Amino acid sequence: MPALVPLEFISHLIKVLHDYFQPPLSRQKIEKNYSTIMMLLNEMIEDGYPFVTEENALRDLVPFAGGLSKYLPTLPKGAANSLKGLTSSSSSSKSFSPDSSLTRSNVPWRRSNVKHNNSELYVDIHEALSVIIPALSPTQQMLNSINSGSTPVPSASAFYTPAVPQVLAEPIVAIAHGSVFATTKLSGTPDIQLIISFGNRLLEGPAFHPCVRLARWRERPGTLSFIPPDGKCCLLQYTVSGVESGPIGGDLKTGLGPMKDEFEVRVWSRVPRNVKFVENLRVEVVFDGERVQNVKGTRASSGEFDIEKKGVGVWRFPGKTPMGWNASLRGTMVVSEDLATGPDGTVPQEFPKYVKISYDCQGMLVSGAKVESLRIVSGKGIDDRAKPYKGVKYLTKGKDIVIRG
Amino acid sequence: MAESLSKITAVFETAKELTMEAAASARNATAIFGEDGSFRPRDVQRYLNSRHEKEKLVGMKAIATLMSKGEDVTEFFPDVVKNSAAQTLEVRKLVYIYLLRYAQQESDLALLSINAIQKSLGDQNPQIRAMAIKVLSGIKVPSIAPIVLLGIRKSIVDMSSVVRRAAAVAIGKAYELDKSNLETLVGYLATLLADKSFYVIGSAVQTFVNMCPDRLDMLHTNYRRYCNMLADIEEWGQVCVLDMLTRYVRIYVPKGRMVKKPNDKFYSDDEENEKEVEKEQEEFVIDPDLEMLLAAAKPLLQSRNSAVVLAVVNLFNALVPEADLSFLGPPLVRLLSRPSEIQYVVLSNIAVLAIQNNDLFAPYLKYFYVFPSDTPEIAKRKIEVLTLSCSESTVSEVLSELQYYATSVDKFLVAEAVRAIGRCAQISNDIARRCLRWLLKQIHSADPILVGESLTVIRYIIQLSPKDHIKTVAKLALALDSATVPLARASIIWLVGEFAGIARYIAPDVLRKCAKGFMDEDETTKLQIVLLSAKLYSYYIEEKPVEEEKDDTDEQLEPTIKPPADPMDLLFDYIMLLARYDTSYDLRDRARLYKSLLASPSSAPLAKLLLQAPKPSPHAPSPSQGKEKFLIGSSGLICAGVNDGRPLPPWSSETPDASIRDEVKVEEAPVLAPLPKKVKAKTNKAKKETKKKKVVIEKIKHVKPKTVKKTEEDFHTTLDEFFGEPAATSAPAEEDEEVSEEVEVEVEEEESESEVEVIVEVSDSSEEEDSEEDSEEEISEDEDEDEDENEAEDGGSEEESGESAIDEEQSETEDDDDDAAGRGLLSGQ
Repeated sequence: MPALVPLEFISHLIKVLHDYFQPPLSRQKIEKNYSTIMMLLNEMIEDGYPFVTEENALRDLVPFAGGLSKYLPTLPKGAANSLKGLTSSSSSSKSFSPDSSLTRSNVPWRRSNVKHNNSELYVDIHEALSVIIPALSPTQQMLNSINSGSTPVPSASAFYTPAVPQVLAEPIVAIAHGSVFATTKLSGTPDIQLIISFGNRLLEGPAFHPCVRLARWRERPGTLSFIPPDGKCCLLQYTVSGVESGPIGGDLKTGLGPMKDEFEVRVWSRVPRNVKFVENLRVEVVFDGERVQNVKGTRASSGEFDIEKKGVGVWRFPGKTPMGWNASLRGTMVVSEDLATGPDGTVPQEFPKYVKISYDCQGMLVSGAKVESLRIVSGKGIDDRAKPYKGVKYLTKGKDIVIRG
Repeated sequence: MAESLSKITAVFETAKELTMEAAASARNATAIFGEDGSFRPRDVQRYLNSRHEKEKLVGMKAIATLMSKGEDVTEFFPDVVKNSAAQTLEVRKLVYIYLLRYAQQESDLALLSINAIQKSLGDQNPQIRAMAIKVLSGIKVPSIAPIVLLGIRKSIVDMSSVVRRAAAVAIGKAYELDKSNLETLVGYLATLLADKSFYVIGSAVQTFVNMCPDRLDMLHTNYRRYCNMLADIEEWGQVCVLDMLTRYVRIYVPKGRMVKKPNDKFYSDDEENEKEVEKEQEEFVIDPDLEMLLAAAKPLLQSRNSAVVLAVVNLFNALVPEADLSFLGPPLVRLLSRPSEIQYVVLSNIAVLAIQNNDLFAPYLKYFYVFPSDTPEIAKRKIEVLTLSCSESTVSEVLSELQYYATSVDKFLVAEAVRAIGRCAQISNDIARRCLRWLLKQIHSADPILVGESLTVIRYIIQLSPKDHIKTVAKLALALDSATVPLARASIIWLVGEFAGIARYIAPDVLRKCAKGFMDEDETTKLQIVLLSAKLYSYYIEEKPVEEEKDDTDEQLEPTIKPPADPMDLLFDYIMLLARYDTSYDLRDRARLYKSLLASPSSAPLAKLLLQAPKPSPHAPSPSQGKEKFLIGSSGLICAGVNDGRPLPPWSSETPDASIRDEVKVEEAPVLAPLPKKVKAKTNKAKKETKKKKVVIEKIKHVKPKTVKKTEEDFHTTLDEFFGEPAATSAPAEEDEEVSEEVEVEVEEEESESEVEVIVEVSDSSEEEDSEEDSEEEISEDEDEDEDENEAEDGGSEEESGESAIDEEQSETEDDDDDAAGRGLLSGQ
C-alpha cells in the first residue's frame, strides 16, 4: 500500500470524528460513543483499504450522534420527518433516516435531503505564515548604531522609543500556506460561486476539494464554482511565497550595554488597514540551554518574561495587542561556570540564538487575497425568499516567524 | 467572558441531553453500565432478547462498547445472532459488525444468521443489500464460500452502484476465503471492471490489484474509459487506478521516444508545449493512448489527497521521465504545509526525485529551509533536498544557510548540516575550497560534534584529490596548536599521519610538537600520537635501506626528512618509552605491538601493510541514495524492510496493436440480465415470478454445502459464457452461433440459475426511484427497455421464458462483440 494512504486515512478519520463529535476530541467523548465510532470505522475501511471517507456520505450511513433519532429509531416515517423539521434549526441534529440512501444524492460529497431553516454561508480564509529573518549583516548593524545613537537606555522612557530600527534585514523566506473554508447551511443542492482575487501572486500547486469545478478555475483563476458539502469543508489549499512579513515585526540585538553582554529583543506592530489588534502574541527567546544557566536583569517594557523550559524564555502579551505599538526586552545571559574555556581562557558571552514570534491576526491576509464576490448561482430546493446570511472572515496566523541572532 | 459563555452552553448541552435521555427511557441504558462503568451480563442479555427495538439497540451498544474496550463478548453470540434480522438499521449494523468480528470463532452459530443475511440481499433498500453482501463475504467460515459466490453473482448485476461497489470488495474477500474459486471470481470481477459507474471502478480495481494483479490483459477495453473517468473516481480508488494504469502502460503501450521532427502532438498543456518547442527541434513523441492517460492524470496533481498526488508523480516519473516534468514541483512543495508525518513522507520522495533530476526543485529552494519547529527527520530530509537541488548559481545561498544550521543549538542539525556541506563541496573545486576554509575555522569551536563532523568532511575533501591539498594538511597541523577538544586533536593527528606519504615535511614536525606535550594529552589523543610515530617510523625505515626507489617520486621533499636521520629514531624511541609507562593498558599494548613490528627490517613489508594501507575515503552519498529502486510513494521508500510493492514491469519491447484498447460497448453489460425481463415482470409475469422467488429463497435457506456446490458448478459453465463473453472480445462471430445452440440445450438444466435472476429483477422493478435519480443511467436504460421490449415481442413466446431470456442475453453479448453494429439484425436471427 502506498505510504501515504494510511496517513491520509488517519487525517480523514480525525476530520470525521470532529464532524461527528465536535472538536476538541476527548477521551470521554470517544468512550461515550464507542458504538458510533465502531460503525464509522466499519464503513470507512473495507478489506484493509479506505472505503467511504466523505463526512457527508457517512452521515447518510451512520446515525449522527447528536440527533434525536437514536432514541426514536422505530417511529413511523412521518413522525421522524416532523421531528427532523423541529430540530433541524440546529446543525447538530441531523436526523438519520434508514431509507435516505434510496434517494441517494447525485453529488457524492453532499448529504441527501439537506434542510435548514436558516440559510447561512460563510467563507473563512486562513493563512499560516512562516518567515525567516536573518541576522543583520555587520554593515547594517553599523548603520543602525550610527543612526540611532548608542543610547538604548531602558527606563520608563523605553515605552516611548521609536523602536523600529532604520535598517531591517529582509526576510530570506516568507511563505504563507492558505486554506479557503466554506461553511454552508443551505437546503437542497445550492450552486455557489466564490471569486477570490490573489492580486498577481502565483499560487504554487493549488489543491481543491472534489466539489470545485476545475474547468472554471482554469478559465479564470480565482473562481471557485461548486456545490458544497453540507457543513464545513476545505475548498482550496494554496501556498504563496514572497509574502509580506506580517503585521508584527521584530529584531534581536546583541552585545549592548557597558559590558557588551546585554541583548535586546524588540517587537512592534505595523499598522495595516482594517486591523485593530493582534491576539495571543507570544515571543520565544531561544538560547543554548547547555551553556546558559539563567537570564538575569530582564527588563521588559510590557508583557511578562519567564524561562519556560531549558533554553527557552517566553515573553507573553496576554489578550489583545493594539496596532502601532512596540515593546522591548533587555537582559543578560548568565553562562554556566563549569564550561570549557575558549582559546583565550575566557568563557565567551552567550546571546539568544533566535527569537520566534507567534500570533493570530484577524481581518487581514498576508498574501493580499480578497473575496471579491460570493453568491448562490442556483439550486434546487432553496427557498428564494429567505436570503442567506453570508459572511467572510480572514485570519493570518503567525506560525513560525523566526528572527535569527 | 467567552469562557463563561461556553460553560453556560455546556451546561445547557448536558441539560438537553439529560432531558432527552429521560424522554427516551435511557435510564435503562445507564443502569446497564452501573456507576463505575461495569455492566451486568444478564442485563445485556435481557436487552438483546427484548421485543422492543430500542432496547435491543441499548443492548447492542453495550456490546459495541465492550468490544471497543477489547473484552471478549463471545458469550452473547446466540443472543446477538437472533437479532440479525432486526428491523432497525442501526441494530442490524451493530449485529453485523459483531458477526464480522466473532463469526470465525463460533462458526456453527454464525451459520444461523446466514439465512437472514441472505434474505437481506433481496431487500428493497440498496444500503441493506450492500451491507448484506459485505457481511456475507466477511464471515470467515469456509463452508459458506458457495453461498458467498451466489451472493456476489447476484450483487454484481444489482441496479444500485452502492451494492455493486460492495460486491467488488466482496469478491476479494471471497477469494481469500476459498482461493480455488479464482476463475469464477475473475469472471465476476471482469463485469465490475467494465462497470459504467465510476463509483464502482475504484473498488473493483483495488480488488483486482489484490487478487489478480497480473491479469492486466483484462483491462484492454477499459483502458480508455478509465482515463476518461479518472477525475470522477473517489480519491482512494484513484490511487489504485493510477498505479495499475502505470503498470499497464509499461507492458502494453509503446514507450515514448525522441523524434527529430517537431511534432505538434505533445501530451501536456499548451504552456509546456510551447516551452518544449522552443527548447529543441527534437521532439518527444508518445503513443496517443499514453498521451490520453497523462492528460487525464495531470489535473489530479491538484487533489487534496497527498496519496493521489504522489501516485500521479510516480506515474509521470515512471512513464515519461524524459519529458519536462517541472510541473511536478509545485504540488509537492505545497504538501509541505501538511502535518509532519505527511511532510516526512513527501520530503523523502522529493529527495529521491531530486537525486534523479537535480533541476526539479531548484526553483523552490526556499521551501526547504529548516524551521526550528521541524522535527529532526524532516530537517534531515530538507537539508538533503537543499544539497541535492543546489547548482553553482545557488550554492552560495545554500551554503550560508547550511553554515547557520551547523552552528545552531540543535545537535542533530549540526552533524547533518556539516555532512551536507561536504556533499556541496563536490559541485566544483572553487566551492570545495570555500567549504574547506569554513570547515577549518570550525576546528576551534567548542562544540565537539561540529569539530568531529568537520574533520570527517575535511578528510573526505582531501581524499578526493590528495595532491591538491598538501596545504590543507599544513593548515590542519597549524590548527593543532589551538585546538582544545581532544577529539579534534586526535582526528587532526590521525589525518596528518594518514597523509604523511604526500606531505612528509609536516608530519615529523607535528610529532615533535606532540611529543613535548604527551603527558597532558587525553588518552584518545595519545593513541593517535603513538600511531603517528609508528607510521612515520615505518616510512623512515622503508627509505633507509633502499633509497633509489623513493628518489624519483618525491625528490623535492627528500631533503627535509633525510639529512639528519637520527631524530626520527630518537623521536620514535622517546614516544615508545613514554607510552610504555602510561597508565592505559591499551596504550601500552599498542606501543609494544608497534615497537616489535618495527624492530626488525624483515617485518617491514608487514608494517607497511599495516600502517600505510590506503584507507577508503569516507563515502558521503546523499542519505537517500539507493532508494531510487523504490517506487515514488511506496512504503518501501519510507521504512526500511517493508517490501510492499511489486516493482514496475519493464517496458516491453513489442506491444500489441492499439486496437485492442478499442472500447467495447460496455454500458449494457452489467445490467444485461435484468433489463429484458423487467418489462415482462411489469406486464404479465409478476405472479409467476414472485412464486419463483419464493422457491429460490426456500432453496437458499436449506442450502447445504453439497447442494450448493452443484449449483455453483452450474454457474461455472453458464457464467463463463454469460459474463466471460464481453471480456473475450476477440472471439469471432461464428463461435457465437455455436454457443447459442449450446445454451438452448442447457436451458432445462439451468432453471435454478434463471430463477436467481428473477429475484434480482423483482427487486429492480421496485427500485425505479433509485434509477431515476441518476439521470444518465435513466436515459440509457430507457433506450434499452424500448429495444428490449421490441425484442421480447418479436421472439417472445411466453411459456418459454427461460429460453427467450437466454436468447436475449445471447443477442446482447453479440452486440457487445460487434460493437453495437446492427443490433436489429442480430435480434432478428
